[in-house]
Amino acid sequence: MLFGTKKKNDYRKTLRHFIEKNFYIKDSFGDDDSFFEKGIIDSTGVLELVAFIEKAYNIVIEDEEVIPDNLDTINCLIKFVKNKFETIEI
Amino acid sequence: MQVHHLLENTVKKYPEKNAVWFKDKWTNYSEIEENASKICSYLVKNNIKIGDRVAIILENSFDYIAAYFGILKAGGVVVGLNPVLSESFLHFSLSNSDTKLVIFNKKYLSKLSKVFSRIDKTMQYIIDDRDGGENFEKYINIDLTTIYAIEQQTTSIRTIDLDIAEIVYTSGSTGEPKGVTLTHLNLVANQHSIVKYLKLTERDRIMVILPFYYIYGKSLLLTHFLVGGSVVIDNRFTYPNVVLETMSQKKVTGFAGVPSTYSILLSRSNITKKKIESLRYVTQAGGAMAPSLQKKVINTFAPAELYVMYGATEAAPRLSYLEPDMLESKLGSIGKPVDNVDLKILNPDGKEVPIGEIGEIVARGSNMMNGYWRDQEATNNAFRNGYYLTGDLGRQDEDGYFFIIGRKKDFIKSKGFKVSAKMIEEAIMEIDGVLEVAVVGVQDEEFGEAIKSFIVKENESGIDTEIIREGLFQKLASNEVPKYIEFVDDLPKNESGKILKTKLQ
Repeated sequence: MLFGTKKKNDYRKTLRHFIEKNFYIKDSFGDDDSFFEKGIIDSTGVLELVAFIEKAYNIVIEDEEVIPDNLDTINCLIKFVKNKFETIEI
Repeated sequence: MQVHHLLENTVKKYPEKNAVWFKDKWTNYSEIEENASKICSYLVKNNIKIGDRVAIILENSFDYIAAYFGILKAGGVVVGLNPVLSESFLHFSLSNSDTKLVIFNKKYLSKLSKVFSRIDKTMQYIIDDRDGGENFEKYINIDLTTIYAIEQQTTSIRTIDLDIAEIVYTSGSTGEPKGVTLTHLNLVANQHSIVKYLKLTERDRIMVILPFYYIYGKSLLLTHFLVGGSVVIDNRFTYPNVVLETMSQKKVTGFAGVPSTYSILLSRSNITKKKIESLRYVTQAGGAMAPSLQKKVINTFAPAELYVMYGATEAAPRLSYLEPDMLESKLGSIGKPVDNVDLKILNPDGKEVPIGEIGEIVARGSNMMNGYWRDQEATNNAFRNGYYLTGDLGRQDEDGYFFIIGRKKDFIKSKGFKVSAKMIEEAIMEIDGVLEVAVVGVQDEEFGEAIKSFIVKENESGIDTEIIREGLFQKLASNEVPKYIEFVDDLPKNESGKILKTKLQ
C-alpha cells in the first residue's frame, strides 16, 4: 500500500489537497459541497480523481462505482474509501 | 416560419404533452410557452427592441429553454455563452456583440461580476435565483421567479425569417473567436433537414448532455420541438452511469455525442453491460470519429443505429450524414448532403475537381450563415461564388459519398512530404489500448516540422512507445510515423468536447 496507516486515517487532508492542487481551486468549499454543482470537477476531472484514489489507496474502483454518491463531495469520498477498506479487510 | 414558431406551433397541437424533463420533473409545452411569453413581455417592457442582443449564460434547463424562446419572441438576438470560458472570452463576446441584457445562473455570479465590471456600457441583468446574491445587487435587476409570476402582457413581436436569431461565438478548434450570425431561416431550414433523415416524430425523446450554447446541442432541442417530441436533460455526464440510468428510466429513443463522449462511455461506464431498450439511434458529430471507434460504437449500441454526421456552426449546423446501413461499405465517409444543402469539392482555383480527387469541401444552402458579426473581411473570406468554404479537404467517390481527408490547416510537412494528421490519428486509434489521440506538427531542428502524437491510454493499458511505433510502421510510410510520442492523462478540449490542437503546439 502506498499510504501507511497514519495517512489512511487522514483521508480528508489528502483528498482536499489533491483536489485543491490538481484543479486549481482558489475559492473555499465545504466537505458537503457538490463538486459537480460548484463546477470544481468536470468529466475528465472525475477520471483523474478516480485514478488518484486508486493509486493512493491501492484500491480498484469499478465503473459502476463512478457515481455522485461515491465521489461528489469530500464526505462522500471519505465514506466511499473507508467502505472499500472495510470490504478488503473482511 | 421563425424559430419561436417551432414552440408556438407545437403548443397548439400538443399543449399538455411532456416537453422537457430536468431534475426529476417534466414540464409540458404550455408551461414552457407561458414562461417564454412572460420573459418576452419583460424584455419588451424593458426596452429590448428587434435585433437587440440578449445573452444567456445558463446551464441546460427549463429556464434556458424559456429564455431562448422568450428572447426570440421579443425579436431579440440570442447570444448563448459557455459559462466556464475564460473571463477574457466572455468579456470579448459580450462587448463584441454589444449585448444589452444578460440572463444567467446565480452560481456563475462571482465570476461573471468580474466580467460585467469591465464592460463599458450599461447592461441589464436577469438572474435565475436571487437568494445569496446580496453582495452583487448591482448585477441583479430581477430574477426569473419574479418574471414568471408577472401577468403576461405582450405576445410575440413580428419578425421575418431573414432576421438574425442567434450569434454563436466560435473559434472552432483553432484561432480567434468569431460571432457566427444565424438567421431564423438558417436554423429552421436545417432543423427540417435533420428531422427528415433521422425520421423524427412526436414519439421521439432525445437525451441531451451536449450544452445548448453549442449548435449541435441546440439542434437537439429545436428538432424535437419541431416535431412535438420530448427533450430529456441531464447535465451530469461527469458521471456517465448516472446519465445511462436516466436514459433507461426515461426511455429515450435517441442520444447525441461527440467522439470523446463515446470514448468516455466505452471506457468508463457500464454501457457494455447495460442495454437501453428504447434507444432507436445515436448520432455523432463535432469532429472526426476514427473508424475503429465507430465500429466499437456500432457493436455496443446495436440494435440502435449510428448516424455519423458532419457540419459546422456556420451551417446551423448540419451539412451531411451517413445512412447507418452504409457505415460498413462506406466506412470513414461523412455521407451525402442533407436535404436542401449542396456540397462540392473545389480546387484552389475554384473549379470542381473530378471524382476521387482531393479538394476543399464547399457548401450552399438556406442554412448557411448570414456572416460573421461585424467582420466583413472574415465573412468575405468565408464565401466564394455563393459557397461557404469549410476549410476541410475531402473527396467524393463515384457513388456520391464524401470523405474528409483533413483540415486544410491540419497537414504536417514532415521530411518534405505533406502528411495528414487525421490519417495518422486513425492509424494510432487502431492500436489496442489507445483511448484518444491528437497529432500535431511541432517545430523541429532536424526536419523543420516534425510529427508529434499525444496519446491517452485506455485504463490499465500497458502500451508504450515501442508498441505504438511497431504498430505504426506496419501501417504507415516511415515519414508518417510520429517522431515524438507522448502519453498524457487527457487531451485539452473545449466545453463541447472538441480537441483543441492549438494548446498542444
